[in-house]
Amino acid sequence: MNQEEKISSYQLLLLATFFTVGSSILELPSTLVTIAEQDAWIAMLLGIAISAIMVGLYLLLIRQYPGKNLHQINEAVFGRKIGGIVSFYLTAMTFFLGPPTVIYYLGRFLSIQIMVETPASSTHLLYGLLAIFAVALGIEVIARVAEILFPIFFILYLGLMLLLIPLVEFERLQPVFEHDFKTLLWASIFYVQFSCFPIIIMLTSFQGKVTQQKKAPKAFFLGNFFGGSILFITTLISVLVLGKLTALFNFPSYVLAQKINVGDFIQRIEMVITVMWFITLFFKLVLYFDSAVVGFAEILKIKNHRFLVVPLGILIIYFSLTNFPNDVYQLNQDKTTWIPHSFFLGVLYPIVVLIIGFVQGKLKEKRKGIHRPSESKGG
Amino acid sequence: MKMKRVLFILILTVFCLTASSCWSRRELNELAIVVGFGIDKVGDQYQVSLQMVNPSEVVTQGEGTGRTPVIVYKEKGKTVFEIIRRLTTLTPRKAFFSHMQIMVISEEVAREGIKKALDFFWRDHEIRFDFFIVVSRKSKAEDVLNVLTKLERIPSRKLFTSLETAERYWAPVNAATLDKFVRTLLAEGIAPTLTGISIEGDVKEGGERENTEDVSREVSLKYKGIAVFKEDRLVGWLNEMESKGKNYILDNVNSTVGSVRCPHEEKHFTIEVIRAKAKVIGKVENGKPAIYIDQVSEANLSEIQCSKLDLSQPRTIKMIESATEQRVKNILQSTIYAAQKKYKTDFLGFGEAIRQADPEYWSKNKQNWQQEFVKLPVHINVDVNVKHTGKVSNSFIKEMEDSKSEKE
Repeated sequence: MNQEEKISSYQLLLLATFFTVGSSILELPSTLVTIAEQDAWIAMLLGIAISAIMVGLYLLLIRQYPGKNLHQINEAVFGRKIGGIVSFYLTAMTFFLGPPTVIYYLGRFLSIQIMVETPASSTHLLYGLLAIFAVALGIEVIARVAEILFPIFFILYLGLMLLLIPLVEFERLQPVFEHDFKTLLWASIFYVQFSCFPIIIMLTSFQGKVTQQKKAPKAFFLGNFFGGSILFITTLISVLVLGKLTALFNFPSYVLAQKINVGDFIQRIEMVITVMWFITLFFKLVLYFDSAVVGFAEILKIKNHRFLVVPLGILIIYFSLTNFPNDVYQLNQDKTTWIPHSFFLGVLYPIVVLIIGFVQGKLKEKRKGIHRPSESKGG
Repeated sequence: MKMKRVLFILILTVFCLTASSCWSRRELNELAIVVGFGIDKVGDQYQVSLQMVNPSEVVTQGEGTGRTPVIVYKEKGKTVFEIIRRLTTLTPRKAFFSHMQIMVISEEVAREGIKKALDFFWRDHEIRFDFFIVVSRKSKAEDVLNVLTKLERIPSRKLFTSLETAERYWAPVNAATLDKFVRTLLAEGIAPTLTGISIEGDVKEGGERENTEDVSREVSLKYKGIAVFKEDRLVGWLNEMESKGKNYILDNVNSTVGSVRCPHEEKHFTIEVIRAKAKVIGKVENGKPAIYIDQVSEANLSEIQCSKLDLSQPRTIKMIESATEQRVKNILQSTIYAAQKKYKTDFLGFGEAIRQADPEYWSKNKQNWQQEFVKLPVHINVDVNVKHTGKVSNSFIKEMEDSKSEKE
């Protein structure tokens, strides 16, 4: 099954971009400004720098284990049993914390801003079904959808940012560097924890499926960087236009779009941001979900992972409705549960894998050096 | 394969049924479009007045039904949203707020503090931030909304456009939207201001339809003065001159007009400012804060009554410039006096300027900024450049006077 699916490195770049932008485009400026106030954009730059380092680390994983997905790497590094446990933990946490939260984000946004009287369950169901449909069709189709939707997303985004330029006031940035490095670092965590650490789970989806395997690491890295730049510009514009008020809104980008008024003619176009958010959230949801499905299939040794899509999909819709009693609980989860989880997923885990893998490689080399000196190690 | 097709059709059906988004639909004929919102205090309760559009009266070309273009509903209660929902017992339709143009706060509510009344507007999803907030001066907000106007059929629309125009061409008003107001409420070292509105004429007659049919007997709404706040409480009003100075200092002036006394004569000339730029710079030297205001404007001479000024001479222009500079300086000083001595509230943003200049000093002294602010030294530097003198150079008035003196 896996051998049939192929995506190009350009498609991988777009998927990584969408994953990075994800839910953050609507919510991130608010969190950053709450912590770092007018220095939020510096925190964002710091976040991009951190994520460049971390994604660099994941690239080492790709280089060391070419074509192997996350769970195959686990098996190679930790052996079948412990590797299975690690895989199960990663998959279960991704499955439980990832897709339901993404669906909840969408439902929350719709029931706060747009369709107040529509029950959340109907929007959750619709979006969940869409995700089931997409994952059932496989990563190849998802990648093609990304290729189709990206121009739409990017043109809308660019248009929105350009139309906001007349509202920019540079005094809002002053005083620059009012906050110390520690505060900025703490703020940047909120970018990194959603957009950089979890991106490692994409390794389950695309590893071994990219047509030009050599270009894959570069595309992956650039996608993350590009997504980070989009978020950086959004944050900067938020600070320049809304200033500290950004912190007060749940969805500052939506408020930004509301403020656009060019000659009483181009105005009331906030639905544009809703369309963008539908697109980016869709990919975040689908990539989480696909990774979880592939993970479970790998653990249970099921050859055709599509068999799992519908039951797991129904579960994520269910979890999206029951995980969170209210908005405050969910926001609190982002600040408490998600940080240690993403830290484990994105920092601790790859470092441990790399170290063990490195030691194993050295040991093998030594042994091989004694018996068969001609064979070289892969990679 | 058959199973798959059935599933596919099932999913498509679900999409069709749910994606048409008929669930939260609200048709145009079910909405009561709110254009004006007024808030008063009655006893210890709020009274909310909503000015709603009467669509058949506004839309119809030619003959209307003879009813008023807007209807005002009012209701009392403890919180704003409660009152708005209670209003459904009065109105035939549910209020729709996305097209709100103006929010009138009565002076009484403003003096008590308005933050309590504003949270709803900040939170509700229907409310946009593009309406203006004004304070009704010496009258109830309800009465302001009751006045019918002539040029614009919807009074709230009149209030909105006239404030927008006045801000562009006449300095002493202050068009504040909700987000702008809250931003200044939250910002350190600057206090908010709002424009005042007053009713000219008999309050009762303003609500009658005849008010729009009679040329001379107009009860009208007029923007008058700027309300100065300390935190969210109104503490006083700026007169026209002080209001003008406030907008000069905060760099809100796009274009305005001012008359200046001619040198050596009891007559006046008018200067039209076409571009104005002001900078408030804070400096902390040896632990002492000071404010430097740099005001540069480009102006045209647009009217002249004086007969002794010879406009063909370059030094006359210099004279006019320095007379104007002195005048602008006086305006700015009157405003600064109002801020520091009369009302003791920092609506000019001096604290913010100091904070931007020296964040460390600010974080140490922001607790006792009130005392510091009152005795803050302010240095003003005004520069006026007169560019053009209109279609003519010397006025015909001067020609008349000159020929008269020749005859003598």
